[in-house]
Amino acid sequence: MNTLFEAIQYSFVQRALISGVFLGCGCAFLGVFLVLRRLSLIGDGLAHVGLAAVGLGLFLNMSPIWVSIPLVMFASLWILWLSDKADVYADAAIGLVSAVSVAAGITLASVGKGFNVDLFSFLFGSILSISQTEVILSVILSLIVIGTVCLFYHELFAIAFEEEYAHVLGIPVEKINKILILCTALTVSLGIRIVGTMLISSLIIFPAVTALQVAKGFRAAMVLAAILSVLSVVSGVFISYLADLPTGATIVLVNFALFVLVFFYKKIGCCQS
Amino acid sequence: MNLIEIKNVCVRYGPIEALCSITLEVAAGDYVAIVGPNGSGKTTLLKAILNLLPPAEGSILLYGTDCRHFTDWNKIGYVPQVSRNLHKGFPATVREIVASGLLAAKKFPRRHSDSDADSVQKAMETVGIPDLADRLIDKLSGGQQQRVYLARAMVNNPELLMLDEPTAAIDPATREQFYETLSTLNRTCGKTIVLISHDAGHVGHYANKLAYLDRHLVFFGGFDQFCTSPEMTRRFGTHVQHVICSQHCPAQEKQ
Repeated sequence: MNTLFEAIQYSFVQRALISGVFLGCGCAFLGVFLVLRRLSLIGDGLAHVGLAAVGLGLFLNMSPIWVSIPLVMFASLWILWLSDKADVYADAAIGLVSAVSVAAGITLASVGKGFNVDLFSFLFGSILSISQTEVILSVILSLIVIGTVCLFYHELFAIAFEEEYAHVLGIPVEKINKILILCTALTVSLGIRIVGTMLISSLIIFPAVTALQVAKGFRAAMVLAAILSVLSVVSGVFISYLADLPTGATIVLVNFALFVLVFFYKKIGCCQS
Repeated sequence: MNLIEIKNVCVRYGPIEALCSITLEVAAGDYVAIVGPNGSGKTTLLKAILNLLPPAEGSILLYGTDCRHFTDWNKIGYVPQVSRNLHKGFPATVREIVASGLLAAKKFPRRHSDSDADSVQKAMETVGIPDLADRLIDKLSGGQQQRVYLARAMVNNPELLMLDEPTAAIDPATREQFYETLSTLNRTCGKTIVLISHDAGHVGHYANKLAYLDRHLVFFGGFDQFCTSPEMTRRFGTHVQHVICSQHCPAQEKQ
């Protein structure tokens, strides 16, 4: 316990907790809608775009986050356009954009000089090394994402349940879809810094999937997903500090453990009832 | 007053003509059954009316307004064709789903008011599912789910109800109850109903007008006329027409 109190005294741990908690909430809120709409892999696809953006940022000697935010947003709209207007299946559209991005990222990495170590940190995250400015940025942008989801909650719910019916309710479905996808892009861009390019999609998928196992209503699913996400980030940060493990990977493993726990809790509950 | 006016409407999927030269009107208080074989364009017509599919030719007026510019969606309740497993694992309660129907009457930012809870309760009571309010949608039977979708369509107290094969996935006894509910809504509450079904003989007994589609409008009129129509006799043969028109109908027996 003393070690935990000691850990929380460090400003880098405080920064990791603050940005992780906010980002975790944003991911969880978005994740419920994305998972239910079979779009959860968009987080993975956009994370690959983020990798290319990081490569480009390092290549251009710019802060990767400022390159990845617009680039990932553009890619998200491209995926939406491919699936809506170009008659490409959504999963294929994600795969196309993802593959092109990884190829671009690797190409940039190969022609760039001396940024392999940095690129590795973006692949697997470096939450313990984020700066004060990045904390402020992640809090502000997470609040924008959370606020947007709350503002359009009813529209997002109706579209997630039945897109066609949402049209008949007079909801501007295409606009709301763009808002959801842009929020996802924003969250992924931030998540790259927190848990890394390869692991951000798990923060979107795991808390939502775990919450959906046991939630007794839609609001309950969102609240539970946010609680699980915060729990995984906080415990992941502390466990990684205590055991000297990579923080991003530890957060994902904690998420997996929570999923397994809830899964068996549900199975046992079902057997007993 | 005509709630729906369809004039020379053609709908195409790329080069394929799904529907053509459709002209019909639905007046307030009508109960119109749209019937026809698979691929005859029934659902296409309903989607065109609801502005989900743009017609290639012709015009569709809802309450006198071109459906592309129609905004009073709270006047229309829609029950889509939904397979039972479509919402498997979706964590929404019946109350949440029925309440989502209220969004048609709201402008941005859409928020539920205190009176909305009463509207939701009333809609659930109208279709006989108040005891299911806190149950999850994917834990209900096909018939119960259809009642939830009907309650969602009813929650705004719409003048016009449009239903796309609402009884496709439910057993005959539940289907009968569902048609009885619709019939009561039409006769007692004055709701105008447009219902898509495969079963001309069955819905024909409830509806006051029947539209038979086969990519064009083959017949539009009353069920009695349908049963004596030479065009229908040519299409089905005398025997089949007789079978369709003499189907068992509990509603008539009660009368």
